[in-house]
Amino acid sequence: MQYLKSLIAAALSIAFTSTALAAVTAQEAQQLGKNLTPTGAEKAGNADGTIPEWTGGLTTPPAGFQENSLKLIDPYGSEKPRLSITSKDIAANADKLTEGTKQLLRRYPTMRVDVYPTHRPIHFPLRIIENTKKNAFVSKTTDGGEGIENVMPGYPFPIPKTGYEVMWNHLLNYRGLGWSARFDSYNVGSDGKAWLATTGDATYAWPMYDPKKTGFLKETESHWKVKVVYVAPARRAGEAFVVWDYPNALKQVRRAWQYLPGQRRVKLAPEIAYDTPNPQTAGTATYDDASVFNGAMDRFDFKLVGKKEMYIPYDNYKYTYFALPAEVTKPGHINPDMVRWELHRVWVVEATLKPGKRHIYSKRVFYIDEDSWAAVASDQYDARGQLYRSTFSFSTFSYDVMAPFFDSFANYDFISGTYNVNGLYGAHEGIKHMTEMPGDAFFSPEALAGAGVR
Amino acid sequence: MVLWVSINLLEGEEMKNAKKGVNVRSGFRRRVIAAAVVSSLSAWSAAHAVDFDTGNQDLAVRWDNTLRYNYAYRVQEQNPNILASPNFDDGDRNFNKGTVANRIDLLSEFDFVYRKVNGFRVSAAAWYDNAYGQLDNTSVASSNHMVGGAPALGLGDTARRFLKGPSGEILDAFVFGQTELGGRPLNLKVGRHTLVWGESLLSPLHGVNYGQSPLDFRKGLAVPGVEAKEVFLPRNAISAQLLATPELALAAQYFLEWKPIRIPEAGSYLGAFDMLLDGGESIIAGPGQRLLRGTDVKPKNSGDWGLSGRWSPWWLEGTLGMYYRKTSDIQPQIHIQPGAAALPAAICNALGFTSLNASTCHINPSAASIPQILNGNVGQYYEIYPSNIDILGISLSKSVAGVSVGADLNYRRNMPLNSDPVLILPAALAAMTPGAISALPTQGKTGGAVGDTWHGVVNLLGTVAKTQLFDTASWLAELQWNHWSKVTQGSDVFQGRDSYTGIDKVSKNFVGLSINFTPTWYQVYPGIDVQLPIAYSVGLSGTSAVASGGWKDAGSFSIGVGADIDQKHRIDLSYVGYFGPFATNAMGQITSSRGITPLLKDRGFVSLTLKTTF
Repeated sequence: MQYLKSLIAAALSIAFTSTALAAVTAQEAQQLGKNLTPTGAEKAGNADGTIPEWTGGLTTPPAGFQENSLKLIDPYGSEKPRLSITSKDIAANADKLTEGTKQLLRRYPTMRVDVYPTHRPIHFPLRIIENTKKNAFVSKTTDGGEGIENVMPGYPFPIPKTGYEVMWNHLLNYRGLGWSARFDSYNVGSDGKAWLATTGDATYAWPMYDPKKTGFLKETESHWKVKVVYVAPARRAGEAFVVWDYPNALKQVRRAWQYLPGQRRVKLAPEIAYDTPNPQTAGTATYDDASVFNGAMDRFDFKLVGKKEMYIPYDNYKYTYFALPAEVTKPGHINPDMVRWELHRVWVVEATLKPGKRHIYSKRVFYIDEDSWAAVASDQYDARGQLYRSTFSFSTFSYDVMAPFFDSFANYDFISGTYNVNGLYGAHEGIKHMTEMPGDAFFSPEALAGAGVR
Repeated sequence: MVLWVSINLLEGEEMKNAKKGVNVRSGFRRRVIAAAVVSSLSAWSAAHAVDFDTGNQDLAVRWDNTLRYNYAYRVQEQNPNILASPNFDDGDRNFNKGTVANRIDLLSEFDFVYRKVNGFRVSAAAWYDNAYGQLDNTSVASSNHMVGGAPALGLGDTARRFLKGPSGEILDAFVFGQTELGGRPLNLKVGRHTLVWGESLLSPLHGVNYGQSPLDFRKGLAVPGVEAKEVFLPRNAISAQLLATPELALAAQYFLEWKPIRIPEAGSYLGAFDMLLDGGESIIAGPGQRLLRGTDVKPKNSGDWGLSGRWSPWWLEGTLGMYYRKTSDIQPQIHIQPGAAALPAAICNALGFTSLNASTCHINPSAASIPQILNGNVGQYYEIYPSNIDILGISLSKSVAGVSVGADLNYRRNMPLNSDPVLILPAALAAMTPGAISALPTQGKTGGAVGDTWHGVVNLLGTVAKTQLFDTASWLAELQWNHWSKVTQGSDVFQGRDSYTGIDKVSKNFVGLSINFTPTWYQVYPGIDVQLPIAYSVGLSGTSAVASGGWKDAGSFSIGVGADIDQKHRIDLSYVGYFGPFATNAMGQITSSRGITPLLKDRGFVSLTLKTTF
């Protein structure tokens, strides 16, 4: 058991409120870059030696890497699993497996968790590091945790005290300026048969990380924009949507539009939020399950449970870029040969449905990677308190552009026995990272209408 | 999505003109007829895609084919009033209970896109319906189909081509591109393409987009599961959109061709009006008497244009649209030109006409010759499509409490209004007959009623998350409102005049409602999602002043069950029905009807639709 307590007890932080805006004390903040990484992870390895020390991340691309390659070669591809967990090993590893992972192991004799040596490749550009340090002193949450203020483009809470602060680090996590890629999504039915849910051209951009931006994030300026144009199945070809997210989802709710093929106009789509089922996932995921969690936090109470060492999917270059998506799925679960698991320290945040609010999940538990602040797994519980679904993301570090990539994920629905994999890039061109923000027209809903062909 | 539309047409009946004792026997009364059209515009169709690997990242070429099979079975008995009404019975008689559709459709789409923004698109549809091979009608006397100047059983050319087939047509055919104007992106399209402005979703009649893309209800009604892109008829046009600022989009459209709405044709299963539309051949004016179809007066192919500005300022948290359009009607007003009239010989001769017998006067040899009259072909009728309609509109789109709200308000000048058929009579008679005119209107003009109208549409579009009953449900509700403020021409034939007594008398205001509700259950069987689409459309109060605008208590409904298989194939089983009141005379003939849906109230049918990949 390796519980690491929340860094500062609540009582202690109250004692320091005299520092007004300071979210953490100067003394604490000084730890950044020393015994903490510049963005707040624990620098040291673990006592067992199964988590190595963070030594600055993967700064040199692996041998064979070609400049401007859109498919990254696996820097750890030659490694062998150090441990393989199957259903009979659940008890021995219970504290290091998410509930969803245990459920998969219990249900499917073919399920396996192949644990590879842990690597800590993630590191960030200097301005992210500098802003994160500034944020440590001045950023704070508002509206009971659901809003933020005084946040420079970087991690707002490198030394988090609350579940909300951890989730904010996830919601604002740095994934570069943005990327565009053609992706595949597959559904796998309870009978084990897989079918293509969609193929689309997705573009994600984080205007908040535009180097031209200075100063604090503004609640009137979208920090995250998404555009997806579907190309398959053919009946969906030409469908498209645009989403603009704002750093304070309560003050400025998400804006979303869908394009109506055949009419060449757009319609507001506020339903792209919360627990509306994501239609491409065969009912296995809600819209706010995308990226493990996205959107407004007002329906749940987010409690920080602590930090814990767990086996999570990590460094999944093979999975993300595998050229034959059909081989990624197996009946019941993703092909275990495709998935690399590693032991990492994760923040555990438990979100409980607030009284009077509605959501199909009564509770969700998020596991947030300490190095990237990205939520990498979650367990979702239904109204009866039973494990309902689990989401995993399959991370890679784009060493070529110094940005973590987390937009390959899977959703398991344990009630229907169906699962969805979303964000497979290997069958197409690969992932193109942005070097500058696209113009305003790119994410404009009106432009979507004006340029609509279908 | 289910789309409901209404159309305006006429119904023949003896019209009496008491003035000065002139009794024009072959007169007609005009009826507004509503057609409620149920067309599943669901985007969820299975299709076959060919996404060509061009080997060039700048070039994207794709060819998609959607194959659809429809089988429909009529379950309702023929209504005796409809059978007794010779101008409304052909479709009813052609298809007694049993198979009414056995149809295959193909939609083929080809896109060629260079660097994502430039290229061309062509789409085409083809169809064949085997149910049109054998028609049940045995009533030649009440058939409006003509062969060699005499009534005959069977179908007119348009119905034969578009309902029976095999046939096809090109839909989209345009080039598109993007350039910059003042450093801002400018999108251009040239050729046959569809644009829909404003916010209306279910009412193409009351939105600012009226006539912008005429709807194909000929296919939309007959083929459940039809794609939206098959129902909006593209017109040849040049259009441009400039994203002038991040918050302001300006657009302009200039049409190079005019195209009318399409309704179920005379003699087709859902064809309620035997004289309409494109393929209408005659109107039965009385026992043994007919008016033959004359040449339509259609608008020019030029002069139809529009401008729009859509502004999305930060503070509004929505989009405000402003529109101006200059357009032509896509629905006709009926004009009638009798060759003979019931006039005493003395009066007939005194007016300079030739009396044929003691009570029949040959008033217009150009409308019907004496041999024609002796054959029962006593005159002509025309479909007149007026032009010069001004539409000024504003729209608003905004999210309110998680619901997408759209509103569309427009004011139309020179809008054709529901009118009785306009009589075209020799000047001497026209002078004595209120509402009559003495010559066929010139292009763009009409003898019917025209005026100024207001139209409003408000719609709400939302999603319900999982409940005990279903996994999710989408819903759409749209309220339509219409008000006429002024009649500027043709008040004698306007169906809102005091003396008009039909059941479809126009009221000052009309309010209608359309609702769609579609619950979904995911993974009912592995790979299969199930939906239960329900649609209902009804007039809540009044009768709209414009053609097909809506009628109280008249409407249509559909309920179905659909299965989505592997997100590739789609099967739908649905029931579609129509309702509404009509008025009858002592002989049981329909004298007025609240639109088309009452005339289809015996056509309820079950349909099975399969969409698949080939």
